[in-house]
Amino acid sequence: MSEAMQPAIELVALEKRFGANQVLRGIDLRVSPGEVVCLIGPSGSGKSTLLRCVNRLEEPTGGRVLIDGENICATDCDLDRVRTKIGMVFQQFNLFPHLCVLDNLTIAQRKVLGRSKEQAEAKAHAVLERVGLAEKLHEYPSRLSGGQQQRVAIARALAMDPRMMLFDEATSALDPELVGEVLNVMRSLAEDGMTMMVVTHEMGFARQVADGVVFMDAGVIVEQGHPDEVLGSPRHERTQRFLQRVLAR
Amino acid sequence: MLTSRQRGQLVRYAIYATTLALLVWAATTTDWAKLQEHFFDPKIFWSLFPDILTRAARNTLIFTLFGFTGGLAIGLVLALMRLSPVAPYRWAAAIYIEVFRGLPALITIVLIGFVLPIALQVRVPGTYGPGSLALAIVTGAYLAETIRAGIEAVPKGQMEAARSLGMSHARAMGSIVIPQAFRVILPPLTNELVLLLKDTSLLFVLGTTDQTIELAKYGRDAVADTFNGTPLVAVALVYLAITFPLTRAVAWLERRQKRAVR
Amino acid sequence: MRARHLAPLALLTSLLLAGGCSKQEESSPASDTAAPAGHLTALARDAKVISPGKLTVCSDIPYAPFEFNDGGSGDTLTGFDVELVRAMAKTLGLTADFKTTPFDSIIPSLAAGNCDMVASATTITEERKQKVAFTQPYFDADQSLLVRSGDRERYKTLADLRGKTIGVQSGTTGENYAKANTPQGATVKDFPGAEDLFNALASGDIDAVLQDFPVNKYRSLKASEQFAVTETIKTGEQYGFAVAKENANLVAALDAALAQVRESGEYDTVYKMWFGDK
Repeated sequence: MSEAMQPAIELVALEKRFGANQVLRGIDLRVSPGEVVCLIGPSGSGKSTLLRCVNRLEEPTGGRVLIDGENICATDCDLDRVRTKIGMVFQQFNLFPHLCVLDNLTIAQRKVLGRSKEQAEAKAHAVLERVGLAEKLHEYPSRLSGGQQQRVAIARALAMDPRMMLFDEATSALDPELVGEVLNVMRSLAEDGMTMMVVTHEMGFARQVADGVVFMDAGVIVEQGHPDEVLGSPRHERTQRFLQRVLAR
Repeated sequence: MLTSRQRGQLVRYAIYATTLALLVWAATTTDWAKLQEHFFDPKIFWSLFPDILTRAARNTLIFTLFGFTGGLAIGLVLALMRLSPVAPYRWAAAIYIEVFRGLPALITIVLIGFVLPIALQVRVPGTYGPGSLALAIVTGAYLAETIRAGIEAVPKGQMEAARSLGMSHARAMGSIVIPQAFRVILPPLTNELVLLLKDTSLLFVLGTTDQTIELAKYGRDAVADTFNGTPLVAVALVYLAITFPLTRAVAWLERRQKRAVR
Repeated sequence: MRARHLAPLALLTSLLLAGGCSKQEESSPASDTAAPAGHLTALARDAKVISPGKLTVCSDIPYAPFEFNDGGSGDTLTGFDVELVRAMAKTLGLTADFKTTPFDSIIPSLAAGNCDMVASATTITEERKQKVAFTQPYFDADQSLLVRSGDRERYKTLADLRGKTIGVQSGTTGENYAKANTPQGATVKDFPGAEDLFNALASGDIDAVLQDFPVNKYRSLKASEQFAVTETIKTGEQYGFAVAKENANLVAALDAALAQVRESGEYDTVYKMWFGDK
């Protein structure tokens, strides 16, 4: 991971405890602008928690999170404003079921960014095109397939013109034949230079698209580096064991 | 011995037979002429219109409307207080809910209508004021729990998605969570509306004027004036005419909810 | 499967019957507890009562000073009506048993056979005579106006209550009077019980109470800083005891008892106890 410019995301000694359970044990990580970093590891390793700490959906119990150099854990930080710079895509899509696709895409634009109706709708059209679902503008989420819903979710995040995107196991809840369409969108975002932090089990995607791969286990980063290294010739035994289990399926 | 199927049949026939016997007994022992005279007198029945609708039913509906709107507002606030991370808010709401769900509506009505003004010199303004407020206070206590359940039924992911888009907690609640919560709780909400409508019959203790007379009091007054039971039958029919569509609507809503869940 | 609906229907029908069938129950003739004056007990024997040996009386309690509970628990029921009826019952060899009934349903209650008679400061009116029988009058009453002490000078007569709210009790002659003589722009508000009226007056919900003079007077004496009686409205009303129309024998018995009680001076004693010298 290059350290030439100010990192988009910087985690310094990040810790997270749930009651007596120490889930993150001091994480240091930097993601540069335009970089795509994939987080892999067994369940319970803390990778989702880590991701959710980046936009403080989980509150860190120790350490700092810096977004574009700004410490977002500070008490005077305007978290809502910071979050508009960070787009997030969830495993369960979390589209708003009582709103049609258009409204899903425009509601935050209008109420948070203060864009006009016309501006918001124009943007909605554009991002929907980007994910290949322009014709679904007036549909309700319940009428869409899982893959389509997730692509709409990505569009919803993109509509806010974020500077970076977080993906929390974005394809884990999808039927296998729908995974591809979502990964394609993610790949094209990466190619356009979006800074991305992706928690995933899709090793193929990580290998092809990521600039860096981070392997986590039991709350610490065990190994990180170029995808070819981490995935192709992992140095640590735990990494090897994990990859064996995953890739053997 | 009898198979379970035969036993079942026997029980069914026994029920048919008893019911039939009861009906026959009822039909033959009833003094139909007297029944009609005391409960179904057409002259008295028609003399009640249009006042029974334009005044009595209208007032019942006005009290119900004010009481329900107020109750919704109070219930929403209480539900949010119950969900608040601030402990004193939670306790205050819990106490309110316990008290006003535990007291009979009649007591609450007397409290607001008499005790409040006498003890605290506070009078609720408006002709429909005290009655509506008392009903709102009671309804609010019941709705609070319903609304809270509705809010908690909304998946946490909805709030997370909204917040991650930069919405404030309040905005996320107002635009995303609460609208979804209400869809879920529409059936119990409508049930509460029907109960509230019937509780308006308790408002007579606060005193009745020509302007504010509600259905039950109207019926009772007419019974005393005519010395006949027909007004009660008339009032009963009007109540049913109002509540029946509502209960049907609830059933329809519940069916729709079941279908919509994916 | 249709039969499943018949059972509840049958239940409903049988319940409706309770109202439709004849109201007059079979009652036993009055009993014979150590009987005084023979002619009275003879009348008592012929009269029909619900409960043998008892005179079941419907009354709107409290309505001081006619019928109310004088503090504490246990049998503290007293008042002009109560003591008078007790005296009358004794002459008939019966015990008076009082049942609290709200005033606006007291006549229907009598007709439904819940009690033998009504003793509740009930004015004899032509309208009521259509539905029930009355004994001879036993009390001369007037209506009156009760106001908060501070309004004593302002609301001297009913006419002074223009645009104000006048409280009355549901089903009383006071209500009829108020509605027939409503001052311009005034509202008449009726309440179920006398106590509610006093509460509403105290709370400021109404500006005056139009009610029987003795009741208003009694209250104003008990709460002299709070309330005051202003106008006395002479209506020439008289109270009587109400009895079901078919029960002529009971009316006769009660009339005889009343006459007896007047003669023996007991009436005056009771009257003095509650209203001082005439």
